[in-house]
Amino acid sequence: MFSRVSDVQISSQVSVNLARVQLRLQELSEQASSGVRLNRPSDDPAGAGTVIRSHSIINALGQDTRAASFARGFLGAQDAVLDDADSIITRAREIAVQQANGVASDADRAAAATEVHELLSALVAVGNSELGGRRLFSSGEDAVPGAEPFTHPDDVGFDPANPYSGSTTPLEVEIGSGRLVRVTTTGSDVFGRAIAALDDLETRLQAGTDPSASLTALELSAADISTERSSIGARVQSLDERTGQIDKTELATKEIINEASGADIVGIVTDLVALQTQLQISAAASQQILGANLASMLQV
Amino acid sequence: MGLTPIFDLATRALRAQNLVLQTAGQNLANASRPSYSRQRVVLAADPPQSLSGIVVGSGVRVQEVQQVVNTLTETQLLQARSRSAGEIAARDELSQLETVLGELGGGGLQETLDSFFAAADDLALHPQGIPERTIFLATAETLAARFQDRATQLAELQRQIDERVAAAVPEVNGLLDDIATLNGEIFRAEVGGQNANDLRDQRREALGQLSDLIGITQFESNGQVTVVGPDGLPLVDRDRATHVVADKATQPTLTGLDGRALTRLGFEVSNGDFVGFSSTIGGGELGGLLAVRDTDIPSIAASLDQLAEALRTAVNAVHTNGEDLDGNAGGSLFDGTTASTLRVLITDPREVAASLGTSTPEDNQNARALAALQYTALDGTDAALGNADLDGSNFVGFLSSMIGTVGALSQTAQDRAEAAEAVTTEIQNRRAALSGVNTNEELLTLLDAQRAFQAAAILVNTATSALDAVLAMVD
Repeated sequence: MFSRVSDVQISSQVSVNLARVQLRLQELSEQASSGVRLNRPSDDPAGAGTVIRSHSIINALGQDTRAASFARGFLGAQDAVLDDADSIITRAREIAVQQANGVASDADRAAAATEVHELLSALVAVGNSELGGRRLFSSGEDAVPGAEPFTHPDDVGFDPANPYSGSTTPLEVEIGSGRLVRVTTTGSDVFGRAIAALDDLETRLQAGTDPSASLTALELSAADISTERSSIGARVQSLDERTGQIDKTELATKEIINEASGADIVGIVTDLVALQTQLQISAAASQQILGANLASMLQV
Repeated sequence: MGLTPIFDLATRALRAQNLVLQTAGQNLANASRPSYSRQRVVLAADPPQSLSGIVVGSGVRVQEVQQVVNTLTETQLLQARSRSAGEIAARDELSQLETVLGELGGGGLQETLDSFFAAADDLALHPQGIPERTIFLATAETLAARFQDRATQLAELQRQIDERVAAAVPEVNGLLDDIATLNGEIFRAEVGGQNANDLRDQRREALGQLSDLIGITQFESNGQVTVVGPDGLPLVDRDRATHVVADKATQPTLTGLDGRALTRLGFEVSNGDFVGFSSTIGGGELGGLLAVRDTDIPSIAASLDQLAEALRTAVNAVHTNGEDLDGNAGGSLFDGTTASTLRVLITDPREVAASLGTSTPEDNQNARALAALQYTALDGTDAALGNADLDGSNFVGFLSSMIGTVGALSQTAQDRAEAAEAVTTEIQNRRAALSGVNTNEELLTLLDAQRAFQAAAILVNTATSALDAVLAMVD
């Protein structure tokens, strides 16, 4: 406490207090207009670090979502063509059973052999399927005409025991830190036995030998297709689970950002009203105090 | 008994009250000046005289016109102003630093780092894709450019501060000259018995302005202040001033982030050689500016360089471990060891090494390894990552710590400036309470003096009437 007060002291005090209120008003206006409490790191240094890391996490989650979406599309396309492959094997098994009943003529067998050859060609086409210019069963490598992973049965060099010359490096993509999902299976692992079995059936039909001997291999081929489709289903399920997890994590991270940087609009409006009232009272009081001096009382 | 002493007494009373009126008027005229120190007339009773054996009072005399000042408060105020000015300058520049790094407003390094690693992720989805490879290189270019921008902005901020430092030196020297001149004038006035109160006010204000610019110590002896600066250098000694010199040429020079010399402060010795201050200039705007220029900005620049160096080292280590689209070993992607020199070496998208040395271009393992770097904590011990070191953090983690550090520096500077301003305001209030003018007081003084003046005038009239009466008796 001072025992004496000077005019400068009063006006300076009024000026400091008004400036303080106006500064706070300016801060609140900035928050209200931007909707953000954290406009610069010094507003909350620890919160700023959290916000930066959280934005980066959201960006990374967006990347994971893109990778998951890509993988889902690729696996979905594989499943669709594997359904065709399954139908091909089923038809081949029907032919083998029909032609093994001993009543089939040579002409019937020749026709059946031709159909099986077409089935074989169709299966090779399935193995060479592409999506967006990329091979579905050869590590997603770019599809180059004339460089198919499976050799066509009519082409020179077709070897039913070893028809595959594509990539053997499965394509894996990351759908989270250190979390990989395999997007492709090497074509030979899916279609290798099926191609050999169809070729064997065709050969038996052409040679007039018992086609039923091909049935075991055809059943194993069907199992290969089925196993791959099951695997795809499991991987798609894993992707769906990861996507749900990403959505939840993204929501939680946005909540963290909002907690750290979002403005409390209700609080701001309340503070603004209170400060405006304070400013008006302060201005009115200052006018009274500064005007109340001896000179004015004495009407000098 | 004669009447003459009454006239003398009344005359002295009139003069004294006239001086009181003048002084009150001077105080009222300067009431709004914060640096003004009120004055008051100290009156004392004249020694009594013996008239016809009876001792009677002989009136009033003016002892002095005193300036109401507390020297301890004045010294404290100079120190507080000095500290406050330093903290405010540091706060303002650190606020600029926050703006320069601008990570919260979007378009910052974090976003660019994320985009770079996202491009690596996209490359992993399609390692043979030329568009993905092109985008990967483009994001690397953007990232390098962003590092260069930040480094340039830091260097520019440091240069702007340096220019402010250099520009303040003539102002410092002008004030030193003013104080030295005022020292001489005050000394001569007071030795001659004259009132030097207003000159002292001017000198006090000049000392205040000097304290706002540079940390000083000052003391008064025989009416003259000695101003001591850094290294104990007497900047003002009686009526002589020693100028502060801003120098960029004398070895060893101080190099800025832009590679050009920074201003060093010091003084000239008798042979004209420049000698730099060895101690830190504490306090004042210059003290605050130099602390940010020489400590805070270089520290943040070093962190930025560490981030750039770790990026170059780790990315190159992974990239050179892979194979490009044509089966060739991957080359270095980045060059440069600092943020300002970081640049991308590869321009051909086919040379991006997305596969892992198996001569299978569809392999994405190296692209994945590049993308995985975003999550990798680098502690300088992993040779496979070139021993890149971010003190155990990953890239964004290190960046967020760096931004947090800048925020904490700025926040601390704001708090310190606020505290220093509060202390200064408190001392200014204490000073104003003692030395400031209260118009009510002065008006009352005016009324008192007016009445006393009127009374003295009546005394003259009365004495005149008495003298007339005496003269009438003679007639």
